[in-house]
Amino acid sequence: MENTEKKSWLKSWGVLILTLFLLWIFAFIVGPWGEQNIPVFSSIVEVIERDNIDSTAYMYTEIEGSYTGEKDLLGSLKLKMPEETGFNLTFISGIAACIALLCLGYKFLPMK
Amino acid sequence: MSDNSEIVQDVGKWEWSEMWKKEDWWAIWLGFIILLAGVVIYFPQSGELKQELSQIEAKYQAEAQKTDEFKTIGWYKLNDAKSGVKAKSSKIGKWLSNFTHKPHGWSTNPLDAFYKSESKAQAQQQQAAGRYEAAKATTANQYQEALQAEKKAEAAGFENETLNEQAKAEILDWRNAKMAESKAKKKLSSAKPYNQIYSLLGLGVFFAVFFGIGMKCMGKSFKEFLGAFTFIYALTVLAWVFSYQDTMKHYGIGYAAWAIFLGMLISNTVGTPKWSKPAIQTEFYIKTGLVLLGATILFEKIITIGTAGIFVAWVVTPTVWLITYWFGQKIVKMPSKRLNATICSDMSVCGVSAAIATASACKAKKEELTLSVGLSLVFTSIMMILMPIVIHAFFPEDKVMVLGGAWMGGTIDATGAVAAAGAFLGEKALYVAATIKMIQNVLIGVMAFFVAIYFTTKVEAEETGQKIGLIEIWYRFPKFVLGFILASVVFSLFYSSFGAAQDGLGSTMIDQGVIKGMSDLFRKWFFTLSFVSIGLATNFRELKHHFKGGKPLILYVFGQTFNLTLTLIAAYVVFYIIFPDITAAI
Repeated sequence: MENTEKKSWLKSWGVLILTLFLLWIFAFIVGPWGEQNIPVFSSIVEVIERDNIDSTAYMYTEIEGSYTGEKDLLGSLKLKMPEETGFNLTFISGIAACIALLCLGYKFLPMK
Repeated sequence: MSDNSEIVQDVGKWEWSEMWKKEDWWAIWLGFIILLAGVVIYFPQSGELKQELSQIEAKYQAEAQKTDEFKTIGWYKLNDAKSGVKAKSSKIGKWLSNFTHKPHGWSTNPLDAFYKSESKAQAQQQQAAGRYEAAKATTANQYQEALQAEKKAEAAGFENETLNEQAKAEILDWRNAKMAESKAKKKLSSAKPYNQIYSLLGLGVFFAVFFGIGMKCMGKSFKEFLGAFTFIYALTVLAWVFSYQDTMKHYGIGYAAWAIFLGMLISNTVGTPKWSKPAIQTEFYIKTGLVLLGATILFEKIITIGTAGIFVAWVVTPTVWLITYWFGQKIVKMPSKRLNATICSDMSVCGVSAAIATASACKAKKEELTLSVGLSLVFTSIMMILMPIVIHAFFPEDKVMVLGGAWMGGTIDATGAVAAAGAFLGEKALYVAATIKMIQNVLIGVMAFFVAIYFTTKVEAEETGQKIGLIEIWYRFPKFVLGFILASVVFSLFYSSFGAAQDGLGSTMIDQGVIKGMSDLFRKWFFTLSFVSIGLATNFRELKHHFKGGKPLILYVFGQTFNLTLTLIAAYVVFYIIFPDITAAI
């Protein structure tokens, strides 16, 4: 009984340590190799480092490009086509289409 | 989400004591305490900042509006100056940012995540200073060239096409040089010594007390929670350390993946310690984080690229969601509607954040969320690398930036990966991709509300065999969704009213104040705490059971293929056939 417990304890810790070791191999050997050898990836990595992009971010608020992009694009539109900015009829029809789609989905989505 | 196998837990009755006994309500209270603190800290500065913005406008407005042929130097100066006005730049804002700072980036030595010595910082500063000075000199030269070109175009009354084009090109070169300079400056200012250990300890104590009070009020032991929380918090910090290692950062393997992975690794090998269980409060952390997320869902953001953007993001996304859900039910025959809905959201809306919101809104099981997040993270890394390759290889040169950007923004799940892939194609592609993603991010609220209503009134009604009336909807509705929506509505109104008072004030006070200076600082920590908890409570065997027959993978691959196809067609039709003028303008 004691032997089985000891074996199971050793196995658990063994798997844990092995997994951490595999991670270490990925972080310092396999991963960097991929960065160099997957086509285009090395250039993407260069951009991530050069522009200090948090490529692990999940929301727009975590990325500076969202804010600069927003200001730049909105500014361009306001300068050249002010009539295309704001809540005009075409824009509202886009939102209405979204709501209409969801209403249709609510009514007709299959229950089974 | 339910922590155990029961799906429907709500009892069909209402008691006022729920408001201080149930975690949905406590998530709302705690979330709003943080948001309120942000309001109290930043809003009193609004008068001063409004004045600053109006002074900037007075200084540069005339220069900025010299012509509508192209964006002049004055236009950029006006924008730069306005962007520099941030509520979070106050003393307390900087203190908060330092206090809640995650472990730093590191390459080979994990200690660099917590500590950087004076001498190391000095060596980095010297290196960075050289680059910054060189970049500054280039910018100064480019500025002179741009100025000369603009003057020539102005002398011709901005009516000479060739001179206008020359000025535009010189100004663009100056902007690129300026951007390189600002990045070099950022590197220089980030090369500072730091000791993150004390603030991480302090933050841990703060979180333990913050959530501990809620736990106590819900009838749990405060003391047991405090002890257990140290373990969860330590793993949370570790997840951040892993995610900021250089290789992991390059592959886009973020904190959510590490938090779940580390939790699962422990629970499935040496086992989750029993004493840590009182702090494994997945739903409590996640719902509080979601209320904070609500404040970032600002409706005014959707007007950024006008009509074109709304059609690509807000018409394609629900279409993909509904068709994929139908496919999951009818063709793949997903055994769980909740897993189906969660995968649909994370694939069609915006990955992890949408998956969290949907899983909570439909009360999915923790394994279902884990599976959805896992699928999203794997495909995000693949798409981040493959999509720019495909765009470069097959897109006509003149469509790489706008069409390529819109395609990636509408399909890659996580914003960070969208930005990395967009920046690789070019600045305009980054702007279009990040903006489409931002407009799609706003849909999280709409989709979560839709899912909550659909599951409460239809799916639960079918499961319980009871017809659900209006009052029953209230009983069963996941209440934290109300907090999430309320936060979104309130901060959207704040944003608009600040913007109406002074152009740019909405962004200064909300984006660069309460959101980035408060809500965001805490939200990511809360989500990481919840993902660690999910991992610690997840069993590989349970996960395997959900993956039976590869159905979730089939669903995801079908949905993403459909998403890629429809988004590409919609982006082409909208940007090049219906609204070509908008495309030309941006």
